[in-house]
Amino acid sequence: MKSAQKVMIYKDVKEVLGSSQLFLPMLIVPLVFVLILPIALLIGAQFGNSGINGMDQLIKIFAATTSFDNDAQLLVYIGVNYLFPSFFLLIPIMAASILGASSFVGEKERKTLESLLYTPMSIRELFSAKVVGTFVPAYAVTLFSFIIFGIVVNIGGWFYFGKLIFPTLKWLIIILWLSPAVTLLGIIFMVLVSAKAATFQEAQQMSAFIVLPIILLVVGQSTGLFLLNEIILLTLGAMILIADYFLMGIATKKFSPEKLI
Amino acid sequence: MHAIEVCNLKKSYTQGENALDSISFHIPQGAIFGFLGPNGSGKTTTVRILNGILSPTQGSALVYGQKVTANSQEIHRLCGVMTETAASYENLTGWENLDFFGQMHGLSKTEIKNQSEQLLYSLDLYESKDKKVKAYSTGMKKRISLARALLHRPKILFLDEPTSGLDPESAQNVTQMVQKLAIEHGVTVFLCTHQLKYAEDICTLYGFIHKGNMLGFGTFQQLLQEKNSTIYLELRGDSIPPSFTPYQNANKIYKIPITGDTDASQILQGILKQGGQVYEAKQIHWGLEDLYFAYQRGVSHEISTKSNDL
Repeated sequence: MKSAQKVMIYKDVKEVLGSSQLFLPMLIVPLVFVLILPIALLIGAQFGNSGINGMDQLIKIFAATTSFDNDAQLLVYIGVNYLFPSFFLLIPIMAASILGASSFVGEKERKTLESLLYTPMSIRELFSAKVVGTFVPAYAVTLFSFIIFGIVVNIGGWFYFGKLIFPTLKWLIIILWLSPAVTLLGIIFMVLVSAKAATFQEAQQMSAFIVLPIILLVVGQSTGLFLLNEIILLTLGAMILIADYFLMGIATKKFSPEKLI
Repeated sequence: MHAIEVCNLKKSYTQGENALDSISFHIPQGAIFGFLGPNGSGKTTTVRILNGILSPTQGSALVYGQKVTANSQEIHRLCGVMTETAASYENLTGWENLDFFGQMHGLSKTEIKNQSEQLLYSLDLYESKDKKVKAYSTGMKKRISLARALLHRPKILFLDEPTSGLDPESAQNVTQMVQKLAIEHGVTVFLCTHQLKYAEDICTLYGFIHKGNMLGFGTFQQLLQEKNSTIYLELRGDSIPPSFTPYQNANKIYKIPITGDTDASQILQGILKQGGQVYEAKQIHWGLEDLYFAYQRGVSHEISTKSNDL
């Protein structure tokens, strides 16, 4: 990677840290999913099955097939292994779409993209620097969230199970295989959107399309329609990576000055 | 070798509509070229093509002999661009902006520091270098954009309305800086502006563009000749001989077409010899505004501005 590309990545990260419009949602949303909701689950589990709403189907399935010492263990097990994985995937999607919208559409909206086009960096180098510059902080937010979630869950795990319960193989697949693929998908989606959207807000609204499959995943899980296991996660990750590969080809072609300015 | 050579350049964004319609011109090194035309006439498109960020539909453009379509990265090393459509980063300070763009141009840390300090002092921005650009006034934003465009010492400088929004002192400062760059350092300046008075003061070469067509190109004198512009002798007096009555404009005011200084002198002597009384007399030439409108409207235009007192 050329030094100009590194400078570009560093600038993008600095801009994110300097803008509360970008920084705050990336701080608040993960905190809700990895801190507030898990703590609510862990506290709610104390009150047994009646403490948590919306998990009835999952509880029925696992109560019949798996044995736990008490209801609290059952709830924590279901929450950590079946409900939160799909919630967690919203974090890389959200981070990638906010950072992608800022990096691609935001530069266009703030008229700084044309300034970049006048520098001696080729359009391909600019594209790759922008993708890496968006991927690194988006994945960093995901990793940071993973660590916080792990700490919270293990404190609860120690309390209810007397041992550390995180990370499981499923979570390792999520963080090392599925999250990078999803992050990249979010960024590519924003590149494709950048040719159409004129403003950061417009791009953000369009990102709702990419959140939709994750919402379906959440609904599918909580209703017990299907259960995420390691095979499903590995397959899903592979499918998204293949989609990333093909979409990246299209996005690279779309990222041309003619379409951007 | 010309700094810029454009030959039959054509650009179409949509079918049947040409943003540029086969324009041709060449600009020598060190010239200050005023590219004048209304909004949407094709000025920005030309700048973007000359900087290799848009591809022409037809024709060729060379910058210092290099095809702009072949090596746009090298073109970006040669050119500095300050336009309304290319802004600075608002969440970074003025200094951080210069540091970032300096590094993007591959300048060393020392070069960036020295150049930035010099430009920030020259453009009266040094005191505000650590403020975020979003806190800058319009004029300051314009000046930091100019500093950004000059940072890598370009051989060609593209400027779009460089003095609009600036206070008179800053505008004068910028104008002097641009002239100094052209005269002392041989920098070629490609200036897009609507301010005809400003263009007249600073430019050595002009191009008039309208709806993608180059209506006129050349020095002021060449353009005047092309339009057969007339010089008038305007005088105020009494008892002016009856032969001048057809040129009487208002009570005691006459506007007589002349060919030059000798003609003016002979007319005045003739009037005085015949007992006429002349209280006031001046030659009236076409200004850039007259010339501009003559080209834009495709007709001769009434004279109004530049005058030399006799």
